[in-house]
Amino acid sequence: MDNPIIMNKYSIERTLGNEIKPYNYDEFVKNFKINIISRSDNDLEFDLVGIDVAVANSLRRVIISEVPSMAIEKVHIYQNTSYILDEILAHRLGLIPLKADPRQFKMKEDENSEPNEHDSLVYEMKIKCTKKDLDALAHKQFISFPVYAKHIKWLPLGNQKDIFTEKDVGIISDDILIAKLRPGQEIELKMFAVKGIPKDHAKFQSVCTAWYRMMPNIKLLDEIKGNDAVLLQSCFPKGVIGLKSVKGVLIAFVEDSRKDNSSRNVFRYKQFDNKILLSKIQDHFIFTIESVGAMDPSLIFLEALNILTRKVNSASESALNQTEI
Amino acid sequence: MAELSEEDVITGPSELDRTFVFEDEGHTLGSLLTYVLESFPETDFCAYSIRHPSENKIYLRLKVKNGHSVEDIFKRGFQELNQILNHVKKTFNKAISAYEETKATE
Repeated sequence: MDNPIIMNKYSIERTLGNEIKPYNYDEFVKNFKINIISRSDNDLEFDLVGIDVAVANSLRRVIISEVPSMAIEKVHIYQNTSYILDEILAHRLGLIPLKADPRQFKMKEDENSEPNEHDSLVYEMKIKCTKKDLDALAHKQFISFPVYAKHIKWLPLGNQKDIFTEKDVGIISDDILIAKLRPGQEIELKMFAVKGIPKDHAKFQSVCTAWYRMMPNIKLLDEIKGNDAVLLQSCFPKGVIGLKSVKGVLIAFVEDSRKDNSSRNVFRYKQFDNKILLSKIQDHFIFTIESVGAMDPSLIFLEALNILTRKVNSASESALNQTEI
Repeated sequence: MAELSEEDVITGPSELDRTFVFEDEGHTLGSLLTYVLESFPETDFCAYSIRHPSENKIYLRLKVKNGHSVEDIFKRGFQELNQILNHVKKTFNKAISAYEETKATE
């Protein structure tokens, strides 16, 4: 698209114009590209090039609010003499991220039905603070016994023992602080995790965040040299503006505009007026997905695509069946 | 202001003009669908609205040019959307495997 969004000193200018470019599937296929920039266990950064913002945004919305995951939904508290109230403790437990892969479980159809191996995971925690526990801690001045996520034990239901190990379905991180106990206090509870979608509760989110930004584009309209070049470089994050020496004079050039964070710092200086054009490429999205840890971020993106496709199909059926209004 | 011609006046549902209601849907589907429908040359007007925030549904109005059927264009919008999403999926899978390949050879 050759209609960039131009960033001025005090405004953002959209050069979109009134005409809408007719959408054409063949042209879309020809122009559309995905480049993976970086990938690790929990993070994925990739470029979506040649797609409309409507599609990119819908995908982002689905990733954030409709991709399911497992989370603790019910807690049976048998004993809680700690300072944390029952309901607050239960809420804290609900927010603990689980490692279980949601694709291996079904959505619970009736929330009051008995938990079974296809739709639930059961955990248990029994902990009591005794005088000895406190003595064992290195820092004796902290006379409280911390309860961590590692104290939670998984109880396999039905045939779950043959399919999963504690590593597959346990808590993502061992050192999540749940409560602190004083001598004599104890907590004993059973937890039931189910599959749900983040629209119902944020604890079901499978991503920490998922976002995109448009590709920045920086153009130098005039030659900037000497001290001004050094000043220009300092207006942007590291690596955006490079300096080269031509016959002993420093000349600024754009090294990598991707690293720009659109601070518009350069507009503070009069000497750069009308010399720099900052813009955003409208159909180039730098998409980042940060997984909580249960699912690989690439799987989350694919899952979001599946959910969106299913949504589109079911919506077309229901809309065509409705009587006219 | 220019005078409205007879065609511009809303006359209620017809072969050319219809409002569809989607229950339990929001901007996720609305903006996506409007984008595709709006870009067809046969479309005269297309927009959606959420009439009340506590009503979990969207109203999408589609008006097509003379000689076309609103239902056909509507159906085509869904087909195109399906194609787009399938293509994104295919491209993404390819990109991931290409990335893993280059990483393995490094």
